Amino acid sequence: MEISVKNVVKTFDGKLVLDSISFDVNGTGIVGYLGPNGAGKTTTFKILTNLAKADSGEVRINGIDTKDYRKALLNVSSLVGNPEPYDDMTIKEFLEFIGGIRSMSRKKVEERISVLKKDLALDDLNKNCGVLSKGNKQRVVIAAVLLPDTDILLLDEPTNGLDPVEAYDIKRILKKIGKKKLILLSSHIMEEVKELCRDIIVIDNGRIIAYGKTKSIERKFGKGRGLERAYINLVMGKHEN
Amino acid sequence: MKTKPFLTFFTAQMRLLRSQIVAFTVLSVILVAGFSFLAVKGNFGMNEFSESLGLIIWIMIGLIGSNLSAETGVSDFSEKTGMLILSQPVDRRLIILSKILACFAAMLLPLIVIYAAGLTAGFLLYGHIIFNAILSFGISLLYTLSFIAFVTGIGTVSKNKSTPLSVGLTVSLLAVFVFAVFGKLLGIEPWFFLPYGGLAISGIMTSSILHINPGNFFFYYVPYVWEALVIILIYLAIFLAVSVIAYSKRQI
Repeated sequence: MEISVKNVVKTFDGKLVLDSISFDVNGTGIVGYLGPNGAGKTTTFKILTNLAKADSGEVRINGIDTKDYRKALLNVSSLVGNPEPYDDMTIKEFLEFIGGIRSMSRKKVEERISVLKKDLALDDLNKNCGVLSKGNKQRVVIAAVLLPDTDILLLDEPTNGLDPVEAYDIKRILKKIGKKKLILLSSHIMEEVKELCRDIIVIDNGRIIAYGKTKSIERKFGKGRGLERAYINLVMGKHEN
Repeated sequence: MKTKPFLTFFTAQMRLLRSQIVAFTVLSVILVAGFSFLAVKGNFGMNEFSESLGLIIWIMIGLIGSNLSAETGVSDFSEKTGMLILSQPVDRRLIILSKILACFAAMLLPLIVIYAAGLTAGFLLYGHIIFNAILSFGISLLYTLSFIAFVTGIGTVSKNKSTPLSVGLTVSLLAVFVFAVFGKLLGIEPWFFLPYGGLAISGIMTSSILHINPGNFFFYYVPYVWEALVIILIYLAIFLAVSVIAYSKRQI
């Protein structure tokens, strides 16, 4: 399980969003991808998932160049931006739709739905997604992301918009999944990052400004005042590299 | 081409359009019933009835086609679900083609109903089967597909669904004025205009309309069948290509 990003540059409307970023993550576990709003986190996720194209540089997933996205993304499932399920579909129809897109067998889809219904405490599967609360819609989307049971997960703020209980459930599941799979997780919640991530990458103004073990970054940049302080020091430019 | 993802997108698109399919089918029946009633009251001849039925079909294809396919090319880029769909390992060409075909399939029911109701009404009123009905139906199918590709193509390069919707509706509703300006006033056959190709749907259902009708302000020119087919097929090829290329390359 490996994600490799090399010298990726991306501009939007003439503005440099990613300035030759490079990083490699591999093995299992959760790697945090942190940065202030507009730093380039979501753009990185979009490039990794073929929602946007890099101007230059190379992105490989499990050794496969994402230019061949149909092969590269076979073992990847992602949550980018704040997607919502189709309002006119029931929860079951939407999950079956995602399973169908990924050519999963009907039996496998049924099995996964039954596991995810339990794990994510999904609402009545025959309910229309349009009538669900924001939190329940987010659960359905996370269920859709977890449905294919891929080895790599790219999650851009998965607990965004969830209440503390719902967020706790998601974190519990991610912790469990992270033992067997590789997860790249973007989040603004430092407690969440500290609790879940083995490593963290910090990006600011389109550049990677720190990458390492969560504990060592906390120690090095937080100077005994925790991960949040380490993060603030890093993005406020008080780091010494 | 992978069959399962293709069928999945096709089925999902049909499911999303189901309420519109029902609404437009009901509207089609009401239109033909109302028009048939007018035909009785107005004492239309068979030719006027057939020609008017053809024009109703022609304009309904524009109206229904615009509504059903306005979202097809753009919704995945303008609505949030697209982030989840387009990040899947599926060929985007397959997604857009399945959606276009689903829109076409969705239009079959109202189209079949309107032809069936019109032919039945014509037979009951005049005791004859309408002239060239099967050929007209064939052209209407091709025109429908081409119109859907046209609206979808516009959608794939638009920011939201209001652009393809308004382009589709404007082209359909103002077509007769384009015919009048180019035909009657300038003496130019509007071969460059998709709805002109679709006019053959009506033109071939009656024996009294000629290629040039000097007395007719709006329908001064009526295309030959071969001409109509060329216009429709060229639009289909161009806008299918635009849809597929723009949908495949577009970034979010």
